[in-house]
Amino acid sequence: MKIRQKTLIITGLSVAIVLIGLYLMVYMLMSESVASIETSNLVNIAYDAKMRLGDESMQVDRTLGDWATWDDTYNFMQEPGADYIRSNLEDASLAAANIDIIGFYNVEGTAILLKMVKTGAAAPPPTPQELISPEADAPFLVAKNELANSSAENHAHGLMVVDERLTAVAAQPILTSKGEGPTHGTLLMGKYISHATISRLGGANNSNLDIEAWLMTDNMPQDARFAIAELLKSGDEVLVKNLDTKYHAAYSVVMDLYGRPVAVLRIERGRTERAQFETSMYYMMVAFTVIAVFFELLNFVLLNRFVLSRLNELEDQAEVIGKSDRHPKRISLKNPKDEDEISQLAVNINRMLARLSATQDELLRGHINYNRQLHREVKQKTRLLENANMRLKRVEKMKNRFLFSIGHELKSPLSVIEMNMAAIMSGKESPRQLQDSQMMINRNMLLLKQKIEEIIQLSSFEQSRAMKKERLDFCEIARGSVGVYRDFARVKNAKIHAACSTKHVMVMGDRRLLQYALDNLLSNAVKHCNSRDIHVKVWQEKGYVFFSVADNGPGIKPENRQKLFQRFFKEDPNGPGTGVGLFITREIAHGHSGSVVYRPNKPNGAVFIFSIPTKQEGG
Amino acid sequence: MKKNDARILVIDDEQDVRNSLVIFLSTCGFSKVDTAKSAKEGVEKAETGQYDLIILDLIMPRQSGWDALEKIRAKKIKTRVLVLSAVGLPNVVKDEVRAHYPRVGFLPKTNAASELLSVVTDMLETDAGPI
Repeated sequence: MKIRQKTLIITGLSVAIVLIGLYLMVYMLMSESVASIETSNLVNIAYDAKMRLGDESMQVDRTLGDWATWDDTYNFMQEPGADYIRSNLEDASLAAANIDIIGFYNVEGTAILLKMVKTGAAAPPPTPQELISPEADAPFLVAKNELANSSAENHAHGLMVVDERLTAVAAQPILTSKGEGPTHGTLLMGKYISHATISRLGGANNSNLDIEAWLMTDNMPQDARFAIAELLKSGDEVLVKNLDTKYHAAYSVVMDLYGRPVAVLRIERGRTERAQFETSMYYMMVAFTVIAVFFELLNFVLLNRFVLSRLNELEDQAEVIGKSDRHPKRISLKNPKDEDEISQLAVNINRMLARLSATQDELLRGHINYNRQLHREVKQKTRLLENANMRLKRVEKMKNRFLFSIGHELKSPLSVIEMNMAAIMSGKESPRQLQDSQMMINRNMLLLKQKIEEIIQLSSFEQSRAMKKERLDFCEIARGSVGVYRDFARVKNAKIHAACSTKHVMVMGDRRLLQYALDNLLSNAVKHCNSRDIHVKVWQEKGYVFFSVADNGPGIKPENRQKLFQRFFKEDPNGPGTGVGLFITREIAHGHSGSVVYRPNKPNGAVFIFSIPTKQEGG
Repeated sequence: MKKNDARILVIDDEQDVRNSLVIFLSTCGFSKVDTAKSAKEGVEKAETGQYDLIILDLIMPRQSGWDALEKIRAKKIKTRVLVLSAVGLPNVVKDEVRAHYPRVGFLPKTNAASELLSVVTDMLETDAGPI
């Protein structure tokens, strides 16, 4: 959901809640007041109605006053005569005076004359018994005391039920026209309260009232009955009940002259106050709705103009930036001077973008540098690996050549031995040939032994076999080697000249290995001497014994001197030898804490100098 | 060809091998056995055209037996050649030799004592010619 929709919903809901709350509060508060007002109004109406009802008897009382304080009536009571009756008690006259009942009572309270006024064509109603023989303490018998005068306290007026009809009655003492006594009795007048009268009890301004009065009989409606019970229980004068949402009614008990409840007055009225209130509330609701809608629209317009449009602008630009490349643009709002949160957000985003760009650049530089560094290292490592690989391949090649040549180095002496053996076995050799064969067999047996020793030594070095050192005479070994190789040299038409500065030099050494080392140097010299003499020297110096072999052969080319002692190296790959002799000789020298070095001989040839300490640790 | 009449040239850098072959062949009845200690010397001698059989070693310093074969062919020297070699696997070397020089014989040195006589005898019965 977009912010616009959220904002509208929130503000709309807020306004709605406020207005609804306000409406409900007003409704609740006003409703009570309205109920109170309508009840009060109806109560007042009821009071007025009762008062008007009471006025009916007062009116009778006023009418009565002219009759009660009148000499004719006074004299009539003294001597009742037909004239009086004829003159004053005509139905029409009494009807015109709104009198329905007139009664003359003497001082004893006995009715002298009772007349029920005839109205219209109908016969007058029968005289009610309560008027004919009133109770002795009937309140309308106001002239029981001869001294009763015309003062108000001797008047009686009120309501009575006469002939099952609510009647306004009044009674006054009969006095002279001057109001003098002694009284001759009580004059009673009564007027029936008609339905019309009841209806008019609400007054001219309350024409919408429906007023009824029910006598306290069994025919009384249920609601009136309940109202009476409540009124009597509560002691209130008026009871108001809501009949429905449109009408309510007031009930009031009507007391008679005796002070007894004789009737219930029911005033039904439309709840106009409530209706007006409801109408007002309805208009209020409409007004609130209009206000809410207006507010919402205004809110929408203003929010859109001042907030949401800027947010949209920010969103659009951010979206563009999000899709852009490494150096994105910056956010630029239309009204940058608006120093609100959105502007601040734009500023912060731009700062963030700047840092991001800087970080990106830095990362890229770092990445490039790293790649360069990595490339360099990879290149370097690759070079190292390539070099190592080349060395391995060279060594492998040399090893293969060694293996290749060792076959030749072994097979050649073997074939020599076999052929000579075959020649000897044939028995056809001359003595000279026999001697030569024997010598060749000896030499080649030695050669075989030497080659086999080389293979064993090479294998031993690769398995890091420890030397077996013992105390021995180095010169003795040297002499042994020289002795063996003099014969080889002779075959090559060369001589070995040996010079030893001392007869015995004791060292700690591995006899077999030292023998091999010296044999190897002599063997090489014999191979490469080109039939020229070989010079061997043995001497001691500074705690070392030295064994040097110098030949006058071609020597070692300068470019090969560094590789001379490498395993499997042969100056002439196709030449004789396995290429491991000098390597093993050097290993033997190092194993004895010594060394073997090459020097070019002058004018040509090679000199190899083997040296080991004369005092060594036990092996 | 009678053994005594056959002229054999042994080309090998190792003196003991040369001497051994001379002695061995002489006990087999071949008395005219010459030697050369290098491929160069051997080819020079072969050029004289007086040898019925050349026994040639392959592995020699400076110029190898292969160089010698090439020169013998180039010079169209009419002779018979037997390669006597101790290097590598015999079958492989033999195939290599025969592949390039079909008329050239091959014998491993280690078999020389047992088979040289029969091989030399058989070869001398073939016609000499360029290799």
